[in-house]
Order: sequence, then C-alpha cells, then structure tokens
Amino acid sequence: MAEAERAPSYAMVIDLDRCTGCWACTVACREANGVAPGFAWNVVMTGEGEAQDVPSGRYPDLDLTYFPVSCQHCENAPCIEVCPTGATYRRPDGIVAMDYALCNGCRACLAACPYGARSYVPPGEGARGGGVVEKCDFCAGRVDRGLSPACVDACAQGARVFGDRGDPGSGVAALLAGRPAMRLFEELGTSPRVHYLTKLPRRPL
Amino acid sequence: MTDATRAVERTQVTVCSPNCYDQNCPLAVTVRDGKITGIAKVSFPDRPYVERICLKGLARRDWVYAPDRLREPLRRTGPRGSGEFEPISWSEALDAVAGAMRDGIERHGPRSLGLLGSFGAGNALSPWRRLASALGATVILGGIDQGIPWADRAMLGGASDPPYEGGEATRLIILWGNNMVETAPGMSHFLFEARERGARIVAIDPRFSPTAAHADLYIPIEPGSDAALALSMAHVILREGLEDRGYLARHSAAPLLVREDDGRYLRLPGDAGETFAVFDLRSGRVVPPEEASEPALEGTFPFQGVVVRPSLELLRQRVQGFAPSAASEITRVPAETIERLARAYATEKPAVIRPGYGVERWTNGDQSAMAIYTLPILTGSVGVPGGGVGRSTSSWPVELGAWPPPPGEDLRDVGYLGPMRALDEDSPVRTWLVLGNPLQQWFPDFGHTERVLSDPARTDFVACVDLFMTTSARYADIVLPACSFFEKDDLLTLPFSYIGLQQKLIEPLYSSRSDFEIYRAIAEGLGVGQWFEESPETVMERMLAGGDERVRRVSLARLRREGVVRLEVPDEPPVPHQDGVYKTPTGRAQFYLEELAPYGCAVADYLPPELPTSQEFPLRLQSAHTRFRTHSTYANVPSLLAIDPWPLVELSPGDAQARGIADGDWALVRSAAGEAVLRAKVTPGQRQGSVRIANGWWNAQFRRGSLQHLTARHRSPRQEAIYQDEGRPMGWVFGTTAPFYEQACEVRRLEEGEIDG
Repeated sequence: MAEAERAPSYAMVIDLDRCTGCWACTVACREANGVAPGFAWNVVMTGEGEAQDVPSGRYPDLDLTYFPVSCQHCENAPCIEVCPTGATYRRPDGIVAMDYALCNGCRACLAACPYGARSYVPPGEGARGGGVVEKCDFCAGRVDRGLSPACVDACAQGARVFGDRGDPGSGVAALLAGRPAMRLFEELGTSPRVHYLTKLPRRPL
Repeated sequence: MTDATRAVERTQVTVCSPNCYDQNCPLAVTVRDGKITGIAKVSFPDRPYVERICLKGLARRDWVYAPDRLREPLRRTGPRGSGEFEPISWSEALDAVAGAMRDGIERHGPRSLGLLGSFGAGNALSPWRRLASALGATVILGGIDQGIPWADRAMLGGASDPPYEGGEATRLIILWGNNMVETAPGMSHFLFEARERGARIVAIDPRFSPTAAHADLYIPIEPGSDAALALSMAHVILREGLEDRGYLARHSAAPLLVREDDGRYLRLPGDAGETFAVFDLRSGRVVPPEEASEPALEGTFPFQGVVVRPSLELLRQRVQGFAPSAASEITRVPAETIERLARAYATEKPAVIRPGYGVERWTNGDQSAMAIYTLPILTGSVGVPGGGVGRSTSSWPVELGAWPPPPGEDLRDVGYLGPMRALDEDSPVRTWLVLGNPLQQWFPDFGHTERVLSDPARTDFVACVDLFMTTSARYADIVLPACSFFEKDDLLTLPFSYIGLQQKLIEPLYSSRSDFEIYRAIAEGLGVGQWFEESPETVMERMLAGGDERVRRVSLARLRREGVVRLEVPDEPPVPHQDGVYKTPTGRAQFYLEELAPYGCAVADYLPPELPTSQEFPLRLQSAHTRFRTHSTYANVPSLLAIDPWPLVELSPGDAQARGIADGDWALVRSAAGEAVLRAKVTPGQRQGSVRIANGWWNAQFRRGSLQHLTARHRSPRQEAIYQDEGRPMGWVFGTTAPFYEQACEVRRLEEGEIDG
C-alpha cells in the first residue's frame, strides 16, 4: 500500500510524570460529548485504584501517581467480540467507535471490558438520548475535522498526546521511542492504543 | 434579545476571573441560540506557553446554568442566617438597600457603611469600590494573607515575582508551602519543562501534596516552622561562606551600618541630605557607601559614641541560634537535609523560590515570609535570569488608567479596615454591603461573625450581591442577584502582558443584573448617581486611554474582536531587579528593616505559633485549597461535585487509628472556637498531628458547623502593635496575616445517631 493511502493508526500517549490528576480531561470530555450527569467517559484513578488522591507508602516516603482511564481502544477489543448488533466497531484508523443507532443497551460489552471504560446511560439521559452504552471514541468527530480529542486539548500539562502511531514523525511515536511506556493489563492481550509513559526518575539533592 | 445574542452559533474569546493563581485564563466560548454550549481553551500558536485552562474554567457552563442560580431579589423573613427569604421586586430591594444605607450615614456617619468585594466578582470596573469612594465609606480589605507581598515590597521594593516564562536558566526550584500543581494548574507545565531541562524541584510542605508528588525531593516540615528552616539555611550559607559577597556589598543593605542604640541605620549628614553609611576597610573610616572601596560586611565599630554594625552582622547574630541541629528540633527536618538544601540553594544557581500561602496563614506569617525573602538576598539570587523569589507570575506590567471621579468631585478617602478588625468591638461598621462570599472566606471564627451580624446592637443591616445563596447571602437582609461575567462587560489584565475583555455573550439569566447596574442604582438612591453616569463602555474606553503608552494602543473595538490582546512588549520577559533598582528606603535589597527594630524583628525571627495545641486540642488544622474550587467559587457546580462531592477532614493513619476513625466515617471536629461535622478521610499524605479540611465549601455543605466555625480570630500582639504604630512605618499595607492554618483541634468519630447532635 502506498504511504499516501495508509490509514493512520491512532494512539494516545499519557505522560504519568506530567499528569497531576486534575480532572480537566473529565470535565472537557463531559462538555465536548454531552455526557450525562453522574457518568464519565474518562476518570482519573489514583495509584492502583486506591481512594482518590491517596498516596501509597508511608509518610514521608510516598508516591502519588494518577492514571486517567478511558476506553483503551484495544486492537483485540473484547467489547467488539461480544456486541450482538455491531454497534461497537473498529474504524480503519484503529478507533473503537460506537454506532448508537445500533446499540440495544444489552450491556454485554460492559461485562466484557476489563477497563470499566463503558457506562450504560438510562433512557432520557445524555446527548444520545440514553438507553445505550456510551464510551470514549477518541472524539472521532473532532479527529475527523483535524482537531485533537477534547481531553488532549484541555490538558494544561501537556500530559496527553494524540496522533498516528504509525508515523515515525508523529509526537506519539517520538514519545514512545524516547521514554519507557506501559499499557494497562498488558497480560490480557487486548493490545490497547492508550500508552502510559512511566514517571521519570527523581533526582534528590 | 439584542443583536449581540441573536440565534446564531459563534465562538468568542472571553476571560475567566476567579482570583486564582493562574489569573484570568482566556476561554473560547461557543454560544448558540443565546445559550453557552461549549467552553474550550484558546490557542496561541505563537506563544503556546500562554495556553491554559483548568477543570473549573471548563465547568463554567455548568456554573452559569447551575440549578441554584438566584432568580430574583430576596428579602429575609426569618432570623438573620436562617435562610428564610421571600422574593421581592428589584425596586423594593434597591429601595431597601439605599434606605438602610442612608439611615446608616445619617445616624452613624459614612464610615459605618462597610463595603466588601470579593475578587471573583468584579474586575477593572469595581463599582463597589467606586461607591465606597463616592460615600467615604469603610472598605474592608486585606490583612489576612499579606505577609509575602509585604516582604516583597519592604525587602525588595516590590514587583519581584519571577515570570514563569523566563525560567530557562533555572537549575533549582523550591516550592515552599506552595501546592501550585493543584492551585495553578495552568502554570504547572513550566515546572515539568524545567525538570525535563534538568532543573530539580524541591517541595516543602507538611502534607504530601500533588506538588510534592511531582518534586525531586519532598521535605516534610512541622506546620508553622518555615521561618526556622529559612533561618537555618541562612545559618549554613553564612557558616560555609556560600553567601554572594559581591552582590551583598553592591546591591544589598548588608554593609549599611546599624546603630546599636536605636536599631536604625546610621545616617551621615551630606551636602545633598543624609546618606547611609558603611565602614570602609581600606581607609578604616565610616563613609557614605559610594565612597567606600571595600565596605565591611562584618564587625562591630565605634562611631561618635555609638556602636555600629553592618546589617549582615545582625543577620549573623540572628541565625546563630538556628544551627541545623537546633532548627531540626523545631522543623522536624533532619539537620543533614537542612544542610543539603542550603548548599543546593546557594550553589545550584540560578535558583528560584516560589513561596505559597501555606507559609503565611499563621499568626506570625509575616516573619516566615521575611525569613524566606532573606535567602535570595544572601545568595544574590535576585535580579538574575532564572532566579528570584515570588509566588505568582509577573511579566511586563500592564497599567490600566483610572476610572476618574465625575467632573467637580474628588475621590473621597475611604477607611480601610482588615476583616478581623471590622468585627472588633470598636469597629465603626454597622451596615454591610457585600459582593460575593467574603463573610465566610475572610473572617475566621464564624461563630463570632454570626454573633456580631445577629446582634441588633452592633449590626443594623446586611445586603449581599451574588449569583448564589452562599454563606454571605444567607446572612443578608436583602439579596440582590448578580449576573456572571458571561452576561456583562468588564476589563481585566492577564499574565504574560495581555489585556482582556470580558464581554456580554448571553443575556443576564432570570432577573439578574450586573454589579455595575446594581451599584449604580444604589448610588442613585443615595444621591451620588453622578459617579455612575458613564456607561461601562465609556469607562472602559477611558481606562484604556488613560493607561500607559502600550495600553493606549489597544482599542476596545479590537478587544471586542479578539477578546485578549498582548501589549507590544519585548518577547523576552523582564528579569525583576536586573537593573539593580530596589524601591526600598535604602535603595537596596534589605533583610534588615529598621522600622521593625522596636518590635525585635528587624531581622526575621522564628516566632512559634501562638495558638497552642493541648491535651484537649492536640491536632493542628490546615485548610489548603484544592483543584476543585477557587476560594468558595464552584462549590455548588454539579459536574465538580460529581468528582469531589462533600467536605472531608483528612487524617493521617496514625491519628485516625488512635481515634477509632475509619475512612468515610462521620467525624466531629472541635476547636476552642467551634465545631464541624463532616466525613473523615484517612490518607498517609497527611502529617501525623495535623488534619486538613479543604477550603471553600459553603457552610451549609457541612453536616453541622463549618471550617470557619473552627478557625481562630487571634491576632499577634506584635503585628497589632506594628499595624497600630503611630508612625505607620509600613502603612496600612503592613503584612498582617490571619492564623487560618494554625488552629488547634480534636477529631472524634460520630455514630450515625450523633451526627445531627
């Protein structure tokens, strides 16, 4: 396939060294996507799922690392496999998207997703009218218009970078080449498109 | 519906104004059919560092349309503070306010009117200040956290804050009681960029804050002991000869001789008036500084029957008692850490200190600020790119013109009064006109506030202008619903040398009115309507036209189009004091303040907290701010409450265990002032011996009591004496501080049946 025809291979890189757990991504996502009150397509986990903003360790030898978690846009997405209607599907650019018109609210995908990234929104709520399962789609509509996902745009720390993982000149590719990175539940073989850059070493005095 | 708000979708730049560390972020607001439908960051392709937005700015739509927006003026029907109101018309409400104020002036004089305006509510057009000037009323302002800005003015001559964008050379950043990762989310990226360039970050804080989590070194410290740490660093720097003697001799008051008898700088008569004096080691004589080739920085000299010493000698004497081993007893920072920190600060230059409000919300917070500001003078870290000291950001200054008095009138003197003083027995204030929620936020010991406001012998009338039924509004007799900054015009200045226009993007919701209209109507009712004859548009044009040359080139029309405009200033940010100019009485950077000699603190001292812990109240209560609110703004925003739903008292695991408290339990917090009931959170980030309740929740959001019911009105007798000094050496702006972080308390677990008392 000629380079010009190659579909992008979208990915998001989240720098854990820069993430301050500020939740701007969550609020921006809510604003951009009309997420119903009480639901979130993106949440900020503290450490390994401890209570919010609670460091691990013993005072004063502590660590506080935030993990913003949304749909991981898995290459081997369990949600797509279990969806009976084809409402959940993968775009050629790798984005795991939703066709809400096809979703019957059966919630099989909710059970299948190991990341808890999906929520069932009751009828009458949210910008899609409810009765469907909602989740992050990397702001596919914005991406198609040449914009960044809303969470990336809102991140004042530059902790989120979005782009074409297949293009060696892209910001995401450069970060992945230059910094150690990890993905959530790598052992499950889901092969997420969300990569987390691990924290930089500290240099005490 | 006006043309400006017709049913089309458009995106317009305006400016957020909550009085936070980030100061006035540009917002791109999309409006459709007269409603705000989206808020996003504004992009600055030429200056990406200007781009910033935070969760609160993004939640502004939810704030504007919050279900509890006030819809009409209200009149109190129950006892003051009961929250019982009935709707009334605007004309009834304005008549009531103007009538009460007129009565107050007639019976007790204009100083009996106390006007307060929180900063989240008004900007360049501060109509509440205008009304105070027109009436000669009392302006209640300042004095609760003025230690750092005062230390800056007194010691460096002011305007020293190092711009964030000028920090490329910085090698060491000390964040001292400054949780800027949480409270200045739009500026934290400068920290990360500095770190990626190889700078180290040190965070000094009793609590392991999100900022500490991003530091190379976290230094836990005993709350309230910051001055002891700073003085111990100075001890190490002087002991090891790491001070910058060239800077000290040339730019600081270190060589200036101080008289032993009265603690004043020695003055010599000269042809052009008095001059300061130094001891010239070359000639062995006391001479004016410019005549010395080698001014002494140490020693004791007799001069015309008086003993004199260079001021550095007095600093040496002060820090003698702060050897790291001794300071370690106070600060609980290991002596070896103090030594390493001092050496790093003096050698890894340029080094910048960014102190936060954490160091000064103490009875003697002015001394902590002064001790910290001593350090950059000692090491010559002022006036160098990448160095400096300051908590906020400054760049090339933006000076707007004034809103001049009407023709034939003069601005009347107002009486300035610090918040705690406004509730003293001898306070002149009996009638209150409040904008925003300062009655909750500025006044420690809410029980006292409530008693004064409820006492007919001391309080005649309270009116409040706000968008919501905040704590302050609950105590009002008349509540006037204000509109938000999306519903009116105002002018403001932004970091990075921008000027911004907040413009009316939607019509005022319900029957709300702008603060300009409200205060104008009150002024008309009081017969001083001529002070508000000009429209906001005209006033803003005057402010631009009356500004400096660069401001004058910015037109209102351009601001209407672009929202924010950068002044024509150099791309390179300024380096404060690089020109060697210090607007202090000595014309030099000075760690010795002769005006304070009678009070024993001409050189900074460590003065222990004055509110003692005890067996009854063994824990210290701090009330640091969080990312979810700016002061008490946003406490009611649904999308933020979904993340951070209720007030919490945070305890260390040790303190929680000793009291049988588990995460999520209901807890009673008691202090000598009052109590609060709220849920407990157990976190190892909290230092044993101190607890935290985040600032900014409204009183009604606590199950019982509130944070401010716990805090103390205590004032340092030393600060009081300086403040009241006949000579007013520091003017009304002396750095008085309030002990918001100092109160002693105890926490007890509550059973379900005990929660409501």
